[in-house]
Amino acid sequence: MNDALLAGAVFGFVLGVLHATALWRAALRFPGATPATRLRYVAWTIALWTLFGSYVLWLWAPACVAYAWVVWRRRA
Amino acid sequence: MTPSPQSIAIIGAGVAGLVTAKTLVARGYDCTVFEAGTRVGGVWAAGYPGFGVQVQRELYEFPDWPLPADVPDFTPGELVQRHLEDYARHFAVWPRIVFATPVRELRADPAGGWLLTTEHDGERASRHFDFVVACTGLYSNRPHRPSFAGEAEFRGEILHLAELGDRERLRGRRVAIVGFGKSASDAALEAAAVARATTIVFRAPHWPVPARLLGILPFKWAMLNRLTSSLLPPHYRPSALERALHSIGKPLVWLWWRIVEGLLVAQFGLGSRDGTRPDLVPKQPIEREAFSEAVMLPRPAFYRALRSGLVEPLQTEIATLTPTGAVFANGATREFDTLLLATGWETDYGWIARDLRETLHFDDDGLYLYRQMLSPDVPGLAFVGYASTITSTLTYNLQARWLADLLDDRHRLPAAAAMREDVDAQRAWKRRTMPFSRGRAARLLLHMLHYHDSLLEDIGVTPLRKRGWYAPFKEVFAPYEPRDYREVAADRE
Ligand SMILES: Cc1cc2nc3c(=O)[nH]c(=O)nc-3n(C[C@H](O)[C@H](O)[C@H](O)COP(=O)(O)OP(=O)(O)OC[C@H]3O[C@@H](n4cnc5c(N)ncnc54)[C@H](O)[C@@H]3O)c2cc1C
Repeated sequence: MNDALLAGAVFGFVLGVLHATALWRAALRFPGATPATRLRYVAWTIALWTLFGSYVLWLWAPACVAYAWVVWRRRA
Repeated sequence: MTPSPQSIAIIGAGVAGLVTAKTLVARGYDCTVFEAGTRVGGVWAAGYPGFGVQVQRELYEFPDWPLPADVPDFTPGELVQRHLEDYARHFAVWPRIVFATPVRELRADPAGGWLLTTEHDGERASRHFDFVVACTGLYSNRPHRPSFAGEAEFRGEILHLAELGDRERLRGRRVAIVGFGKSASDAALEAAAVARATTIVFRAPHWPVPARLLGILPFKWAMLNRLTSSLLPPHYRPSALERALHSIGKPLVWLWWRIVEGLLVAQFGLGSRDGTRPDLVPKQPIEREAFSEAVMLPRPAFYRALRSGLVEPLQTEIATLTPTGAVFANGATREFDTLLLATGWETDYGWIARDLRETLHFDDDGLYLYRQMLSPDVPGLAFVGYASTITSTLTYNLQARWLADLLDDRHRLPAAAAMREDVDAQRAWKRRTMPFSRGRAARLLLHMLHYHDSLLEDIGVTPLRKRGWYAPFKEVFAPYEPRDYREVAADRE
C-alpha cells in the first residue's frame, strides 16, 4: 500500500514538474505576471500533482482495463 | 481590416449589440445601433410563459455591470430585460439606438465601406458606414416550423411556442408538444399545469444538466472549470497537457464521463427500471451530446412530471397528422387539440446581400468565422454574438473588447491565409466532435473557456484570471464566471 502511494506520488511529482514548466513559460508571454505569481503557480502545480498523483495513477490502471474491454466489445 | 473607422453601424440591440455599442462608444467611435423592434434586449424583450435564464444569476451578468443583489437565480426574462435597459442608459448607448428600424439590406459600397438600407414606417433609406457589426442573434424572431404530412386535415390548432402568449390558452385542452430542449421542457410544465392531457414528442432524449449535481454541487463547479474543460473532446488547438490527457490518459477521461453519466441517470431517474417507466437515457455519450442543439438545464419538476405520467413522454416522431391527432412513426396514435411546436427559432441573415452571403459562405451547419467574428474574405464586417456559450454576457463582452482593440490597432490579425487555415481547422474539429445542428458553427458551450482564453491571448491579456494565494488551485477546480473578467470588460487591463 505504502509503495503504491509512493509510486503514485513520484509519478505525480514528475508530471507536476512538466506541467509547472509549461505554465512558467506560458506566464512569461503576458505582462503583469510577477516572478512571485509565477513561483506560486509552480509550487501549487507540483504540490497538487504530487498529492493527486496516486489517484490519477491507480484510477488510470483499472480505467485502461475497462476501456479496453468496451472497445473490444464494440469491435466484436 | 479598417483601422479606426469613422462610422460604425451595429445591427441589433440585444445583449451582443448593447455590449458592442458600449465598448466602441467608450473608445470614442461614432456608432449607430439599428434595432428592428421597439425595445432593447432581443430575446429577452419577448418570451414565452415562464421563460428565464438557464444558469445561476452570477453566470449571466456583465462582468462590469452585475445584476442587482435581489435578483434570484435563473433570472426571469423580464428582469434580464429591465437590467439591459438600465445598462443601455448607464453606458450612454440608448441615444445611439434607432428603434423600429430593421436593416433590410447590407451591400458593399463601390466607393469602399458599406451601404445599409433600413426601413422605418414603411420608408426605406440607405446610408454609408465604414464598418458594420452584425449583432442580430443566433435566433431570429422567425420560428422554426417543421411541416407535417396531413397538416391540412388536422382540425386542431398548430402553434409555435413563440405564438403561445398566455398558458391559459391551453386550459382544458389535450396538448402535444414537439421537441426536447429547454423551451420544450418549460412548455411541458406550463401546459401540464392547465391542460387536460400533455404529451411530449421527441426523437431522442438529451442529457439533462442539473442545477446541482446530486443535489449538492452547483453545476458550475462540475462544468465550468479548467479541469472539466480539459476533459472534453479536445479543442482544435489543445495544450500539451490536453494532448497527453486524450492519448495516454484517454481511459481516465473515458471513465470520468461514464461516472458523470451514472450520476445523472441516478439523479434524474432516467433509467427504465426494467420497463416500469420510460427509458430516458440518451444513447450518445455525454461528452459529445453536451454540444447538441438541445443541451438543457431543466426545471427539477420536468423529470418528475415525466416519471409520474403528468407529462407523457413519447420517443418517436409524427408520421402524419389526422383530423383529431397524429399517427406516430412507432405506430402509436394520440388524439390532441393543440400541437405546440417547441422547435426553436431560425437564424436569419436574409438582410445580407446575396453576393455577400456567397462570399461569407454559409454552410448547412452555419457560418464558420475567424474567432467566431470575422470572415477572412470580407474585411469591414464583424459578427458579435455568433457564439453560443453558457455565459453569453461574458462571451460577447470579450468579443467586443477584442474587436475594439483590433479597430484601435492594439492587436493585429494574422494573414488571410492563416485565418482561413484556422477556420478550416475549427470547422473540421466541430464536425468531428459535435453532433450536427443548424447552428453548429456557433457552438462553443463548455469549450467557452478555450475560446475566451484565445481572445485574451490575442489582445495580450493573461487568460489566468483567478487571484490570491489559492489562485493556482482555483484555476483548476473553481468555475470561471463573468466577474473574473471585470478588469478586461472595464478596459482597465
Ligand atoms: C429562454 C432562454 C434562456 C436562455 N438562457 C441562456 C443562458 O442561461 N446563458 C446564455 O448564455 N444564453 C442564454 N440564452 C441565449 C440568449 O439568446 C443569449 O444569451 C443572448 O441574449 C443573445 O443576444 P443577442 O444580442 O446575440 O441576440 P438577440 O437577443 O436575438 O438580439 C438580436 C437583436 O437584433 C435585432 N435584429 C435582428 N435582425 C435585425 C435586422 N435585420 N435589423 C435590425 N435589428 C435586427 C432583433 O430584433 C434583436 O433585438 C437564453 C435564451 C433564451 C430564449
